[in-house]
Amino acid sequence: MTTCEQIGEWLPWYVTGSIDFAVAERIAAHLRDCEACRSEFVEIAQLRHRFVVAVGEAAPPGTNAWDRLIDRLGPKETVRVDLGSFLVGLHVGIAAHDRRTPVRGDLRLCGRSVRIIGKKKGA
Amino acid sequence: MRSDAQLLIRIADGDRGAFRLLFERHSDRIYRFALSLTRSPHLAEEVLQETMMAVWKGANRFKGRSKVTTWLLGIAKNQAYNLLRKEERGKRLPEAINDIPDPSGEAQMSVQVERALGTLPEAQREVLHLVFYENLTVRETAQLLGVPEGTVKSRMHHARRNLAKELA
Repeated sequence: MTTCEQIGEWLPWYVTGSIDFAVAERIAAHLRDCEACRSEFVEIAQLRHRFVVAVGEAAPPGTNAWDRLIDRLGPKETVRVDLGSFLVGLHVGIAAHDRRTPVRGDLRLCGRSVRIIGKKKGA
Repeated sequence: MRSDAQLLIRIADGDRGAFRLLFERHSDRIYRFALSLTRSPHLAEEVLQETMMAVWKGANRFKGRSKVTTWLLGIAKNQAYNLLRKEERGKRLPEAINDIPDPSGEAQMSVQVERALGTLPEAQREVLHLVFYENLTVRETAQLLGVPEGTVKSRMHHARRNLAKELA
């Protein structure tokens, strides 16, 4: 990796530091002797700065984002029974919600859960 | 402090506390990535909701082959494109995020960047965000986008050239 074209391909990652040390060393050595690539490096660094500032300045997500999400999850279990191990087991949960008491049960096999009682998870 | 991967194991078991922690850690980054892709605060909010619901329903699908952050951004990318396709079908144009009258100083700089980004294809905006803002490596970006590493480098090359040209 010695040509300016090859160096240029890696420069964005050299700017962010998300690059293997060995590759970074080769780029640094090239930049010491190549004014054109040094200039390109500076351009990319400035472009990245502007991009990061622009993205960072956008308003964050609304404060009700979590409330909206939790509403979609449905009632929370008030009683939980968990039998067995991570690999094989049975989980039964009972929730209290709006005068209803939904029950759900999951059969666990090799770390995967399959709903056997109640609505599908997250539905 | 629990790692993100540990939180996902708890979430797969229905732990809402773990889900809240993961939300607090990553909602901002998911939202900003979605905003870069959709350029609409409304759609970005929806992407955040759908991404977190997908995590709640499918936390056990995380196999540890990538960082949790990369996995989450991958889900967000898919959700963003799903919503964008629906918007296109419904012919409802997203509201612009750069509709700020007579900006000045630093704010003007950001508006210029946002306007310039608006002229770029989605594939170039996403690679710019993942590399410049999320600091992902070539390999991580390729893994997330499901394309070869050479394609990532090529897209990044065109993306930064086009962005610089628009800003000139």
